[in-house]
Amino acid sequence: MNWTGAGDLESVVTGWVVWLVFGLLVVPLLIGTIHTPLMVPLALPGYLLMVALTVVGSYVIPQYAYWLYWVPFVLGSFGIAVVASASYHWIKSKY
Amino acid sequence: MNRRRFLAASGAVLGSMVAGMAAERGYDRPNGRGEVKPANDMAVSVDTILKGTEQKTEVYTIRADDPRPTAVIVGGIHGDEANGYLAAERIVGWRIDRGSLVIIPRANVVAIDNHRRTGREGDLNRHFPPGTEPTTELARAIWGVVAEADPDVVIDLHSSRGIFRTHPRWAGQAIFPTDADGAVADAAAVAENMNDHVVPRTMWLHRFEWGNVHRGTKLRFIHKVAGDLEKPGFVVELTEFLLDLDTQVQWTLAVTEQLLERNGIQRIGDSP
Repeated sequence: MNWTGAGDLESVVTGWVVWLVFGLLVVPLLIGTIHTPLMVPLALPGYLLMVALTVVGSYVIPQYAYWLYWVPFVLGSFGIAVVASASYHWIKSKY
Repeated sequence: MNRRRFLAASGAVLGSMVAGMAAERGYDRPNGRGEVKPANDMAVSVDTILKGTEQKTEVYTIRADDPRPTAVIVGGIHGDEANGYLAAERIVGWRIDRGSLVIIPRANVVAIDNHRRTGREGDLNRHFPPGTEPTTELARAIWGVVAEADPDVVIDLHSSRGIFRTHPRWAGQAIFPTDADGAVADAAAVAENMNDHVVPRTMWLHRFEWGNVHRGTKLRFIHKVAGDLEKPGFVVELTEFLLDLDTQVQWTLAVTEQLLERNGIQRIGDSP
């Protein structure tokens, strides 16, 4: 990536791509968890991420209640969103 | 719409959803007593076991004109598994074409009132040794109801933190049959039907399956059913993972209805 300053970093970390990806991962799953009939296909990416976290976590910390996984899930979703945003900006700068 | 307005609107929408769903369920508190409304046109009798003790609990019997076959349905053996006792209470209101349902909705009242897995005498589901008398007063009273009913099928309603064969140690989204004739086939068929018609495709890791066959080798209630009665018995396990309580109850009811139907008891209508 061709970094030109703090403005680029800010757009990667807080730009619309971050919020779009973060929202797609978290919001549909959150709504589907509160009310299962609303677990629509849009929730699938977040659903898979949450299941993967709990499966791995079950081996590492067996007694960790699953609702506590919302903390690493939200943080992980933000990390994925930042990576997606950085990829978007890198591709944009290339073409 | 600026960010602050968006967040405020989102919060209001989510808040109203939660409040609306709580009102829809009619559950004032997690371990609150649900409504027990027997159907007007069914013969329903109510007995109480362990009267005069803190463990007293109701036993409901629904009888159609033709009283056989008989099913025993037990909820609330573990007090922190709300789907079981809430579903069992709703079954009290079912109408059936033939046969009898003997329902103990809240087997372990003390555990339910404390919203804990165990009650005054520990884990109730470890007090049913096959081939001999249950080891606690409550377990003996429950088994007395089962023995008197002489059931053709027994269904034990539970929930689990995780998903069977996905999360290690947990048993949710599974139907565990006894080794009686036809029980495995029933469990497999009901699991397949739930996956085809009830579980959303998005939640493909929440698909049901039939689990380990119980053969009367442990101290659990369903093992005593397998060992002493040698009749079809099923543990129905829902998961609490990513499922709201109302869905847990609805899916518990759907599984129970299909198991009953496959064992000769057809539910009439769809209320409540």
